[in-house]
Amino acid sequence: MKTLWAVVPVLAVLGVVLLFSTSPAAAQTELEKTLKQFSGDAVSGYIQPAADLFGANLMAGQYRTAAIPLMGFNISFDIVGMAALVGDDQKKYTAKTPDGFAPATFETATIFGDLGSTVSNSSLPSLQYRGKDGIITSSVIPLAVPQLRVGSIAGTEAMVRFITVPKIGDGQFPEITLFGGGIRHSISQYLPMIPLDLAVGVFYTTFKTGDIIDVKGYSLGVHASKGFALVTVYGGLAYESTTMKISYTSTDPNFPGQLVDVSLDGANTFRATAGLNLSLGIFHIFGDVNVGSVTHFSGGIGFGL
Amino acid sequence: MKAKLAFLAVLVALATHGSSCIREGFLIPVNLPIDQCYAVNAGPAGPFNPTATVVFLSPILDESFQGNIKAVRFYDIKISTAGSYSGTVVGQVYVNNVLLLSIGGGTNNTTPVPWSTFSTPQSLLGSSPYVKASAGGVAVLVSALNQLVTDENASVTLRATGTTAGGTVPSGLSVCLQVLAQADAEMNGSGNGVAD
Repeated sequence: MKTLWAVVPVLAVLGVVLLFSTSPAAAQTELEKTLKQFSGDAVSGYIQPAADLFGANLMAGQYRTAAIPLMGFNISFDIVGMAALVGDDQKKYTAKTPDGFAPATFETATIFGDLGSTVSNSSLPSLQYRGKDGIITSSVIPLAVPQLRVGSIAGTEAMVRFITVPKIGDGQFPEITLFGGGIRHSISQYLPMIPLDLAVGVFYTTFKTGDIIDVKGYSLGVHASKGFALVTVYGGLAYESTTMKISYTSTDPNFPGQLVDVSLDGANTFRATAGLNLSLGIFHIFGDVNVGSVTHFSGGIGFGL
Repeated sequence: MKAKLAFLAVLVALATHGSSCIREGFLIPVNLPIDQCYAVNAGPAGPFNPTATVVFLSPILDESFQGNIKAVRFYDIKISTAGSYSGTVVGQVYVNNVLLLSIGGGTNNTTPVPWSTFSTPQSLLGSSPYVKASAGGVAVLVSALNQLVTDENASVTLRATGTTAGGTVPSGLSVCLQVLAQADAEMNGSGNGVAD
């Protein structure tokens, strides 16, 4: 168990490393230096897909059943993994060229894209401008979190996620903190005639790495499930909102000393979830697919009731 | 102890597997602004010919990008003046002793224009009628900038000359040149570059 506790935070950090590091050994420092080359306008397009995929991952895997006992002590511990797929439309964006440049915009790589494009000024071809290369080649962005669920009072349970990874090395691996909490309430207790378990839930999460990136999000959802012996089919609908904030001072000479304070809203605002949970006593294995603006998956293992 | 060993083992795995998901040798165009000002002598109006300046390019970059440059390009040149003067100015900018810019009015930018014209920076991208680039000078500039790819001690020699006319030139006047360039820094490279 101790070993698991050591591994989970590192797995959780893998998604962060892939998204926010040029390499695991030189994470925050190189990211900051890279981002500082951008003006506020330019950084949004480049990083937006990361906000979309990471935000979707943060809101996933909140439940594996809608059945919440009315009363009595029950507790479960899950390790939830998430994976968001990088779509082709997330590999390119329309960037601005410097003021006066013709063309005024050009298509170039996002953080998940290929090589950056070079564009020549139409009237003075010797003037050229280039976009950044993509950094992440993976087609899947992962995340993993430990999750504790405790209930129940009047068909209500609480859930919490928490990871903290201290700074490692001399500025190589930044401090990372992820915290999420939520409450779910059984609706089926008021609707006993419905042959399904129904619940509603609200969930809030924050994620912070180093001094430059801060992500917050919340979701409101309706959950449903039906148990068949060892298997539970579950699903739900949820509204969600995530925002990634990036703050730094730009070194772009066209905007000298510009304090960049950008908020990127995650593209996923609504999700439909469908999944299966296999229960073997107190041990559970579950997995689901989530469809919204971002298609992604979550799943994991759990221990408890 | 077991937990720490497991943690370290996964970190090692991250350092290898994680980096395989990071593009090897990706390029980040970093800002390479070359800023120089050339003083105009106070006193009677007339020619000014300040000493040329040698600008070493590598020190302009952040230390972590130095030595990792794969290409350089420029996307604008701006000319501005500092200080107030009621007279006129016409001038030239040279790179490595080759004419780069003609500064002034008229068809060939050889006609004196009011000094105040350049209080607001005049640039190539801004299609300023008061700044004209010479093809030969541009080629020399591009070549000089790209020396940075193979030579960390690469430099460009810049010189601004010209002539003022009108009243007495006060002290504190200067003509300023800004070359806006990008230097492609290689990150996560296998040879040069930032450590993996």
